Amino acid sequence: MNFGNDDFVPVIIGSGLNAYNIARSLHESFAVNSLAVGRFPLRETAHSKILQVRTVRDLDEPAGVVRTLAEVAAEFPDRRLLLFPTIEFYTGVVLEHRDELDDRYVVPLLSKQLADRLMNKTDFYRTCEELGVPHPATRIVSPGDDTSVLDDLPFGYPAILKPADTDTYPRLSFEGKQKVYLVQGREEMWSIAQRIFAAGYDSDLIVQEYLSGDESVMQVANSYSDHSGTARVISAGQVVLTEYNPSLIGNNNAILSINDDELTASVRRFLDGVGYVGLANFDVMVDRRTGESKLLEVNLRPGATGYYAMAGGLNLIATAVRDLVYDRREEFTSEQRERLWVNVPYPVVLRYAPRSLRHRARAAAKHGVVHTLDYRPDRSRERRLDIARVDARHTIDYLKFAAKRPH
Amino acid sequence: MLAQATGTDADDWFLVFRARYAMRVVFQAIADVRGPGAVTTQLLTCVTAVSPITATPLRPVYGEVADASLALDPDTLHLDAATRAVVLQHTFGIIDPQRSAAVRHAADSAGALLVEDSAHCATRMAKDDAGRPLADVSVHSFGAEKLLATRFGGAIWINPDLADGALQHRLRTELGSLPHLGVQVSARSRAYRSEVRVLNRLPGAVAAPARHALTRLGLFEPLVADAETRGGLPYDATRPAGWMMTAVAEQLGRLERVQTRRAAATAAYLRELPDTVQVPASITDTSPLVRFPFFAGSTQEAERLIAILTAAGVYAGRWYRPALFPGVPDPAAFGFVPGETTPRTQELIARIVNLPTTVDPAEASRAAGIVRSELR
Repeated sequence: MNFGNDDFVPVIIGSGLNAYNIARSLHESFAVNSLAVGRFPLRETAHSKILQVRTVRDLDEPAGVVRTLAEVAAEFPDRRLLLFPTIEFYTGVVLEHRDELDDRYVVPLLSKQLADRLMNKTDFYRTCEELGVPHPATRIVSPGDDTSVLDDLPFGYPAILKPADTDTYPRLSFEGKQKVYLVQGREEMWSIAQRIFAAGYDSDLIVQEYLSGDESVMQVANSYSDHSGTARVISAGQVVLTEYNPSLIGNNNAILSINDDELTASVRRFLDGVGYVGLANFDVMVDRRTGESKLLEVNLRPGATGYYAMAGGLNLIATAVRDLVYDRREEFTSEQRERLWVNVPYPVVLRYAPRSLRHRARAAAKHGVVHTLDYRPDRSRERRLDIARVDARHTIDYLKFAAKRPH
Repeated sequence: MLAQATGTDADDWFLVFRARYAMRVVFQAIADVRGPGAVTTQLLTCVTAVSPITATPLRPVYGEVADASLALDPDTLHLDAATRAVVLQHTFGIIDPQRSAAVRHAADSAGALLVEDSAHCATRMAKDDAGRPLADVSVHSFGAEKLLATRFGGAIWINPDLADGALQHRLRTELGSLPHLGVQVSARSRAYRSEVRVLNRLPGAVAAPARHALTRLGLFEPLVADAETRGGLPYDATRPAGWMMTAVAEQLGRLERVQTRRAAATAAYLRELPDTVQVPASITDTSPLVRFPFFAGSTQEAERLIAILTAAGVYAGRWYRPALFPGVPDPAAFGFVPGETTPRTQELIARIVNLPTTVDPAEASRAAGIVRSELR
């Protein structure tokens, strides 16, 4: 397989849906093939004619990632390499080792300093506050605080409790550990906080208002900001169907590309306010009481489900390439067509999406349903079989877990 | 054959089902590689020349045409940093070398691509003094009512000297790997000629609804689809069917004869009409035009002439009235305001008439005589 064109070679870290999302976006725009390195061969990227995956087992260690990228760079000595990490871990490793990678790779990522500020949720919400960007009402609980910190919360219970430092927290182990806690009262809140601190967690905890609701209040946004820290494209999305499999919770499987000026303005204010550089992915919830879209968190990479933006007519990856490789920048845009992107068969979306969203999803689907993995120039028999298996696995998950979901 | 007829390399030609779909491939590639922006084109054209722009993230911007060439007037052409491409249309097959070169220069100055629309003059291209094609991309059509007696098929030529390597790579990769034409579309296209023969023999009140019904049932392939008049395109680009290329190859074998005959008719019109009506000055007596255009004094006069000519058995036409022929339901979707955008061009559109060039010189003289006697 030939990689890239005369001007650049795309190198993707990861072998899942996001790797295919990036590779397809690049192939559609520049007719280039991508090289991916991943820990496991996955069906999402198997038998592809636009993406070659090399399996490297020790990519779970930062040293393995850095060594592998050095090897890839050595393989293309005179080529310009454009690097796309696809998950948090790889993004973190690349940020940490920018000094070693910058000589050989063009990296559409922000600085380590800014990344640290945004990855820490305390700083993230403080930044939102400073920039006047809507976010959930928040109280910080630090190690050593007494119970009075939970007095006079600006919101009631149930409330959310979650760690601010998502780097160290996942490495801790203790009984009853959860990623996020939905807490019913003050005493329970204090008790869980003390358990977390006792397990060795020494950073802040976030106590936050609980924004309830089904998919109809869930939104996403993906963006690209150029190397000068100016947002160039923002794509807003309305979540239509979330993942039901508990081990994959938090993922989305159907999204509508939408025009939401208020959300776009918030995201743009945030990005330009911090001088963000590169691709970003935001989780957003609509506060049903006020109708306001509130930023929950930012991921410093393209979202795995970001292909919905392509369905809507916005190509964030191509915008990044035009900026970083071709030194071309265009006017800011966020305008897109309302289209339905899916990561599961369309009937599954119609069956399990909230009733309030089905009509809108159907209307968008009349213009075609876009599935990241189903790409016409990449439809070999083997690949179609792989996609069918991925779809079947997702469908079975919905059948299996739908009954267990709370109503 | 195309390479031979144009003095180019066969590797730079790509065959397509319809030229308009390939044009969309070109404009989409420009948008992807160079970013969203504008394409400067003209209102004196068919909607199918602009819907390939509006079907992409690019937007059409209109320039005035020169009344001599009916192509963009380089003297009033305004391009800026947002201009991604300029369309040089050889309307009716009129090629004006000087103005074409000036448009090329303007496109270069703006960093824009020059896309040549040779739909009306397949195998002819604007060239520089050294005989090299001026355009970056040249679009040729073998569709209905074009130079050759074909109904479908088109070809795109990519200039091998196109400096933008990324765009060159994208265009060649995509155009070189187009999917095959679907069986249904191919069958519909094949039935087109027979269907049109039947429809043309029906009374007008029956023919139009019958045409719509057949189209809705997927049994008729219209020359201009409803989706196109709304700014979209109904299909993605595909390769032409084998039978289409056989027909094109057969017709290309007769190209010289066809061009000679059309040039002879053009010369006859040119001898007889310029003293009576306004004739585009760039037409020469060797131009193998697809139709011969002239301007009446007003829309009323133009329509009266068309009626009289038709009654006398002359197939006179009103291409391109209204603007973006045969007209669009929502001009805003195409970025223009009737009566306001490029007013000089719209004034020309209001008065245009065209005459057939498939006739022999004697018949052309008869048609010209009808015009002369009516306006005397």
